[in-house]
Amino acid sequence: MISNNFEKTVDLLHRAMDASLIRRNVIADNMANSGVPNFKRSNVNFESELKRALETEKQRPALELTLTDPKHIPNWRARDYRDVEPRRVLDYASTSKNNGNNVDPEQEMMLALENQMMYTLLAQATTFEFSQINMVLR
Amino acid sequence: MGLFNAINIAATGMTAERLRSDVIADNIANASTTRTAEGGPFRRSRVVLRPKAEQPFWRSPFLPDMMDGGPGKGVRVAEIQKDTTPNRLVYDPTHPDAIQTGPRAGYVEMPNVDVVTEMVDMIAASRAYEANASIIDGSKTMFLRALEIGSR
Repeated sequence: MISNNFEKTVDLLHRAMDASLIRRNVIADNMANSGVPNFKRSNVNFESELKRALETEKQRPALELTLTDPKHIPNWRARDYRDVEPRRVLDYASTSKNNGNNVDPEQEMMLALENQMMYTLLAQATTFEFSQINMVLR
Repeated sequence: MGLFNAINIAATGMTAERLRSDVIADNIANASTTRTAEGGPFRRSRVVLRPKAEQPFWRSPFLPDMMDGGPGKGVRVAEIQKDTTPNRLVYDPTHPDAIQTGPRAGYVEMPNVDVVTEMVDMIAASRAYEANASIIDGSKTMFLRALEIGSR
């Protein structure tokens, strides 16, 4: 388990940036296929699941069972945030055009811009973390 | 790995849209060609696009990891199809390709190219091209931002 907070922060930032890249690929694929009949757009699902995993670490029950044997079943188990993978989800239910294609170019461009700004923000936060370490080392 | 993939995917889109506008330009250029090597008037062609990675065939948003082909590989040109809609008939008995006998004598078979449709398609293709180009531009900015992480 990571005890150092700096490492955990950098690790989280790293994971979020990876998810952001996958989302960018998915948006690029949606955009490239915006005229293909029967193409269905995809989404990437990451942040909400990461949030849920991080919250399980805090939700310790009031009464925790004592484990005296490795075969005992615990009544509470924190979900490791490192198990959370970005997942691609097919948006198959909606239809916005007559040819079965549900890519909305305006929405995709908006998502692309939002994702790009998020990536910039994460990169800046990572830079800040390392600059603080530099400050200590000097 | 990831960011260059986005650039490659957007590049496949740009290639496809460029081919589409090339085909449209060919259609417009031949809008009144009445004699071709295959015989008969020119027939308009259209581009058929398909996703490069086939999409899963069952309708569910949750894919098992083994069936998921990743975030996608972009678009490809499946074929350039000849449009089989009937040709336009224009009455012009002095035209060298005019029909000589039968009930349609005096008419000329003109290509089935509708210039208005072609212009609309061309605008769609050029806008899609621009959208893909802006995806590449944004990816470039993102990559430069990632390079700045170690530099300060």
